[in-house]
Amino acid sequence: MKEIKLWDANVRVGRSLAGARAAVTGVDEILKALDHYGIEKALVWHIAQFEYSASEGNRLVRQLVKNQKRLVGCWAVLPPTTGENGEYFFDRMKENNIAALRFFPEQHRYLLRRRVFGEFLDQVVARRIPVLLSVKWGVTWPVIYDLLEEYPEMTCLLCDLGIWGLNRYTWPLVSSFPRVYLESSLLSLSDGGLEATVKQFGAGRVIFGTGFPERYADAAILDLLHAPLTDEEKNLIAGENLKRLLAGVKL
Amino acid sequence: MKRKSLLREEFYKQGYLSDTPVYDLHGHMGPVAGIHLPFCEPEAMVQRMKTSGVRKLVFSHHAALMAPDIGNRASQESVERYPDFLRAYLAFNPHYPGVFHRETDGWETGKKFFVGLKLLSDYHRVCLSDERYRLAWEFADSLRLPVLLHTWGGSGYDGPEQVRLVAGRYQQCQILLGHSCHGDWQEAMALVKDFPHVYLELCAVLDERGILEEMVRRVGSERIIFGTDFPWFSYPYYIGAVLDADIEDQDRVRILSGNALRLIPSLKD
Repeated sequence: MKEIKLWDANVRVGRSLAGARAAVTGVDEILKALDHYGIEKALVWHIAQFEYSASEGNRLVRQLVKNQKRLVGCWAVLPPTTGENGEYFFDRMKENNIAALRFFPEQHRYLLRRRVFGEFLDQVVARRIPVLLSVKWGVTWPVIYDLLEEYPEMTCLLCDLGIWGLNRYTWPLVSSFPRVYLESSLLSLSDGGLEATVKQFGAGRVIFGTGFPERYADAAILDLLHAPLTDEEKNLIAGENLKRLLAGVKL
Repeated sequence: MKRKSLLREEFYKQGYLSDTPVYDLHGHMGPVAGIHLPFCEPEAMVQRMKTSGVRKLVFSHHAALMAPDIGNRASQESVERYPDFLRAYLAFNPHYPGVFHRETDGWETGKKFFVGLKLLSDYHRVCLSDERYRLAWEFADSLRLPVLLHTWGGSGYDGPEQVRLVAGRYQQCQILLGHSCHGDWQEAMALVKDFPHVYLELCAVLDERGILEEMVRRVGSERIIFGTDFPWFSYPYYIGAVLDADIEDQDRVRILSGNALRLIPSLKD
């Protein structure tokens, strides 16, 4: 097949407080890794957003991605009532090359629901800002289901899906909510995960991710590259779907 | 800067390795309670093995492990259908020793299909060193068979402490640490260093980048076995992870191919 253009929706930067074998920190290091894997662009978040402080982690992401053409940032969000997200939130997203949001309700001790986020999430939905929810980073399936019942038009990317119950949890959501997408890093881990999902819902609902640097990026790339899918389907998953989502964000 | 890998380039290009047939020593088959496996029947599995250049899979059917009323015959039937691609482990459930007696009575026939034993202590809820396992261990030891264990860090059933006990007692068999005592990597590597008949196995290990490099550095690639839980995990993904690791191609060849043949030469047949 022709070369595919990879946009990676799931790259984490920064060193964990618990230590880790693999971490990437500065811009140069990240870009060098993207070059090695042939990845054109990446949506990045910072471990400090989870482990330390959402606002300070957001600042680190801002510093990292500002004026970078190959990096786009994700900010972490807290309940609006405490004022920790700061003023003019969406304007600041635009100024700082931030195009997606992450939520860590368990770690940051809040409930991810309308009662807590109300109109703020209505804005996120209306602005078509992708919301990345990671099963690995503490967002449970009941929380995801309940959130989407309350915000059915939310643009939602489910990340780090794991293998246990994978299709049984995700397929009802993809089937019910038109703007739910599946990030591929661990969908690819599951044998036949990509092709079975594409057969069921089309290639428009899967978005490529690696989980780098925590996971071996070649693994997710090779599973996509050699999946029994058409070139067109592979290109949608590899980058076109994410490109389209990011282009649709209204900030 | 990462080392250049010709194997990586080849797999990127064609999706299989021409001169390095892959041997997977940790597989399963059939449906399982907690996962939807889209391609878990033998026909589809063998086809997918061919596509990724996997020469042989040694597996234990989920029924053999989790449905005593079906047992090992599910594995045997699949090997009979695809002898060029499949071999099985005889699963031993310590709650039903009578079944094992019957199955091993006909070992002269059974060894055409089964190349070793599989023990799943965490699920069967019996410690590896428990008296109820003695029958299986003595059988494997007397025939110098490989024994694939499910091992998991922190488990009282098959964590590193339990492995250490049985590795000391039974030294003629080859003990494959399925999942390499997942998460308790240091203890798993210590076991391999302390016991020459103990091997690391990679299933569920490769979700953490960097660990394979550390294993190769500490115990050597000769002591690491490739396994995937296939049809749980995808071959392009798992082979891809081995190709991404910052190790030499000669290490990859040992891990993907050579070590399995050294342990079980009959896999060549």
